Parts: sequence; structure tokens; C-alpha cells
Amino acid sequence: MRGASRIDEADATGMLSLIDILLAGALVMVALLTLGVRDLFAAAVLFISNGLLLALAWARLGAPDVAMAEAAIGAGITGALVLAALRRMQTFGERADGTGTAGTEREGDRDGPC
Amino acid sequence: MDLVEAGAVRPGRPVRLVLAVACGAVAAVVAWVLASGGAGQGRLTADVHAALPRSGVEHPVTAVLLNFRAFDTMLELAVLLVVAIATGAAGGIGHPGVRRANLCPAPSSPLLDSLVHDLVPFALLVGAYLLWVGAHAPGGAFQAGSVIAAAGVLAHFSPRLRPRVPDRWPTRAVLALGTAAFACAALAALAWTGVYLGYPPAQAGWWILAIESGATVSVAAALYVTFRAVMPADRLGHGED
Repeated sequence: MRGASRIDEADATGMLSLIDILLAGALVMVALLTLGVRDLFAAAVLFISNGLLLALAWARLGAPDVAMAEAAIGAGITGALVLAALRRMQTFGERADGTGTAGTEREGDRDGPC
Repeated sequence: MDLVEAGAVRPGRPVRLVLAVACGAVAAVVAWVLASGGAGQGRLTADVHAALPRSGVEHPVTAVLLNFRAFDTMLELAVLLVVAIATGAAGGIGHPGVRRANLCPAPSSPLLDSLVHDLVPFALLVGAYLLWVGAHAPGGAFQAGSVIAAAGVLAHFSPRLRPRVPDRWPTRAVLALGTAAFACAALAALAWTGVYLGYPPAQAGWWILAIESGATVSVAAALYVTFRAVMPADRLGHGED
């Protein structure tokens, strides 16, 4: 694996590149934001971003197999599942709220389905 | 409605504190294990490289996943199968009102249609390539299957090109194909070489390719069917799930 040998060289020289530091910092930041943000749609988008950053981190660690699986499953399919679940929750929510005021509030939301 | 409650109610401060402490503890243990040299990493790497010529593939990750630790991979496929069955059952049987309750018709945009039209064949090609290339470079059944499933998810949003899911039995057969191929290969290897999942080294590459082909189809189907079960159908979906 070319990726692995490149990382071995980096280990040998004890270098941690600027990209790696930024990547690790961004991962923690986005993870905290994902947990902290109140808007569920924003949380879903941040979760997907976190998956993509994680895929980059795996690639930097010389594990391209894991990186591909993370990008395709962790960010792609899981992201689609989370967004689908969010959409379903909104559907349920409108049913639960009826067509009352809560429902119209939801309509105004920017993550409303329409 | 359970879903709404689960989503709307955030866990209280004590619960979140306990979770944070637990996560921190796990992270600390992992960091400590890695810092203290790990669990014989060097020896395992050497073992894998020594046994690689007998595995039937040239890529060490595929050799571990499909040969040396094939049992774990078979169980992973079984887990995906269970997920697909569980979400399919939950989405198919419960809450019949959801489908009608949905609010907006599927947007039929020419941009999306042409994107799906151009991108899906390419994604299928990439999936097939990942399956094939797994023998000697990063790739394999899970990556290939998830790329193909992603193509399905993309096509799902284009009403004209939305994948048709066949009736129950064909769908179930496709979902079970990977696990079944794996189990059959395991038993055939037991009969042939006397070792459970011990493929004959000379033809191991073909065994692995056959298992991975079945696994790719099942992974793609399981992921797409799961997505389809979770995603509420829209008005243009004509109700099939």
C-alpha cells in the first residue's frame, strides 16, 4: 500500500503535518457541534461532515479501506438514513400536532420538507 | 409519536454527564492501549504477510476479511441482514398513515433527473470495480455494496428513475444471498478440506470472489431497502415500499 509507506515515513521523521493537526482539530470541533446544535437538520448535516472528515483522517492514517467504507457507509448511507429519519419524524410531528399552530410553526422552519 | 417524543426530549443533564464520562473513559482506555504498544500489532502484521501467498488474494485487508477472519465477516453480513429485516418489517407493517400524511409531492427537477441519469451508471461501474480490485488493492464487498446502494438512494429521489423493489420473496432472496453464499462456502470448504471456511489454497481467489460478489449484492440491497423503509414515501411514490 502506497499510503501505508508514506505514513511510515512520516512516523520515522516524527512529523505531524499541519494538515493532520487541522484535521484532528476539525474532527473534534465538528463532533462537539454535532452534539451541541439544537437544530436537528443542522446536526444531521454536521454528522455527515464529521463522517467525511473521519474518512480523510483514516486516509491520512494509511487505512484506505477503512477510509472508503467510512466515506460510503458512515457519511453517505448513514447520512441518508439520518435525513430520512428526520423527515419521518417531521411527518409524524405534523400528524401528532394536527394542523394546529405547532404545525404551522414547523412549516416556517427552513428544514421543512417543502 | 414515539419517534417525536424521542426526538423532542433531550436527555437530562445527569444522563448526559454520565454519557460524557463513559465516552471519556473509553477514549482514555483506547489511548492508553495504543500508547503502550497495542496488542501485538507487529506480530499479527508479520503473520498476515507470511500467510498472504496462501490466501488467494494479494491485498492483506481482503485476505484477513475474507479468509483468515472470514467468520467475523460472515457475521457482519448477518447483522446487515437482520437490520434490513427489522427496518423493513417496521416500515412495512406499522404506521400506514405515514405514507398519505406526507406533505409535498416529490420534486421532479430536470437537473436531478439528468444527474441521476448520468451518475448512476457510473456509480454502478465504480461499485463493480471496487469489488474486483479488492483482490489486490483497497476495495471489497462492503465498499462496493455501499456505493451501489448510494446510487440507489440517489435514484430514489428521481421519480422517473426510482428503483423498483420486487415482491417480497425475490427481495428476501437478494438480501440473504451474501450470508447464504458465505454459509454455503463455509460448509463446502468443510466438506472439501475438512476445515470450516478453509478454502483450498489453490482456488481460494475464486472462492473469495464468489463470496464477495454475493455479499456486494446483499450489502447494496440491505442498505437501500433500509433507507427505503425509513424514508417516508411521497405522493408520487405510488405507495410501494
